[in-house]
Amino acid sequence: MKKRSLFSLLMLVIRRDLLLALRCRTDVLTTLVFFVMVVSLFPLGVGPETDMLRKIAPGVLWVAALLSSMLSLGRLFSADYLDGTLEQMLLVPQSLSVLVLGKMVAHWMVSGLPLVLLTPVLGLQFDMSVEAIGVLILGLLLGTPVLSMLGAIGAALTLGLRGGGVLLSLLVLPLCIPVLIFGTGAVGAVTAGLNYSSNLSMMGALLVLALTFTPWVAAQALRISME
Amino acid sequence: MAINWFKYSAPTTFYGLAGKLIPWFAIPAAILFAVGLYIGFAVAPMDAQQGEFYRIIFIHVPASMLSMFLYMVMAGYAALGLIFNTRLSSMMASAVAPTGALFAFISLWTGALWGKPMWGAWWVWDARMTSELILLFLYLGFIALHASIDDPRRADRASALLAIVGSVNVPIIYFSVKWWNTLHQGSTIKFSGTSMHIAMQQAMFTMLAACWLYAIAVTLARVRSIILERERHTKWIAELAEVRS
Amino acid sequence: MSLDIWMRENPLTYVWIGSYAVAMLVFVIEIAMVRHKRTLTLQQVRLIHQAEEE
Repeated sequence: MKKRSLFSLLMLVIRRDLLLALRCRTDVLTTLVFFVMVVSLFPLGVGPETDMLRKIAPGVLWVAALLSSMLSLGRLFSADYLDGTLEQMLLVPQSLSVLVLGKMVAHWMVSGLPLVLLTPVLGLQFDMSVEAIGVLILGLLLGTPVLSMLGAIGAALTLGLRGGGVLLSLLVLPLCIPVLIFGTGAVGAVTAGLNYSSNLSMMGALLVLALTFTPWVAAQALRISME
Repeated sequence: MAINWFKYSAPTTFYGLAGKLIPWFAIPAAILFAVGLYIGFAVAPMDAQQGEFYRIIFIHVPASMLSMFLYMVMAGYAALGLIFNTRLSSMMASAVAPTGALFAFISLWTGALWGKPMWGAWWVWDARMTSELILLFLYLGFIALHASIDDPRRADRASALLAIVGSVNVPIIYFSVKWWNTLHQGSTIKFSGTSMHIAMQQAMFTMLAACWLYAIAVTLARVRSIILERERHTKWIAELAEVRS
Repeated sequence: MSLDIWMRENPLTYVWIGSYAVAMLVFVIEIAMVRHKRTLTLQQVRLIHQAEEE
């Protein structure tokens, strides 16, 4: 086998996962449709009063983003687990963390990034101001990767279990609460005319922390699940 | 005479030790509960602002503290089990979890009951209460994950990893919830006055000690059942008095 | 709400029934669950070893 640098290995994994995701476009699209549907349910549930909608909009969008990424996380390792690729990945001489990071990145590109692109449209549904939508998008850009990364740990721990997706959500959602708080807090700050940079810096810090630790932790979780 | 610290780190020897220790923790716990309640209700005076309602803290504060400490104890045992591969450590982590979760529940319940006379609502999204709720979720996640995995070794190790990740997250969660609460001008459950009356302090410490002793006693009892279950096919279990009868 | 009024007139009863009684109940239930688990486990272990003896 050709000796690969860690970076090219990362790119290989990302490309492979993206290719696989593109072949099963339905999975990706259904998650997006779920996101849009959940967001649309809230006005139906609480009423169309624009003042209130504007206030709940960041919370609704963030919670919907959380739930959608939980949904799609089940797929992260299960396909490879079922066809034996995951076992091979564990035997690879290079770092398993790099492989896991590649999967996390690909997952984010396929589930988190499209959410961010859909946000302007949904934000307008809630009559959010342009600045609010802008900060919301920035927050989601910083936060959805963290959701993917924390979720990957949950996906690795619950690999092949009966409880499946629900158990994964139960485990991961409490860990995602800080991201939720700072993401919505940033939008709240900009709406109130206050400085939102502290919120976004906290999210940046969480992102860096996640990038540093979660690939390794998820790799350990995979080893535990695969023994 | 060198103390063999590792003598009791095997389930076989620990089983017997735990059984002998339980009364030494359970009976003092019961006594201290009684003493603490006496001091808390009969000796401590009424609070200037909160009247009699403040007496809830004698169970609320110990329950909160215990739920938080027990999580760390659970994560500690889990980490030991993960790093050193000692089965008994993982069993102890599993034994601590339900007790910790129940203390978290008591803390939430009593906190709500305290909140009603204070703020007029059962739940006010106070920073500490919200963090306590999240802690309960973390406990439940640990228990659920362990219960969902059939292979005991994988169950131990997976839930250990989860416990460690959780314990790292607890300060982050607490900090972010605290910040969130102040931003939204939430209410904080605080105590009136700068210093507590001496009797209140005594009641508090007595109840705290009582809860600790109780927690240790229940955990030891629970771990004995766990040992029995895990080691059910071994010979030493077959020779136990309670099994042969 | 009548609960509010009752609460203010009987604060100690409220504290006792609401918090301490519930806490005691939780402890009693926990102890009962631990004992129950022990009984079940012992039964199970006895069955296993009786089967093995045969």
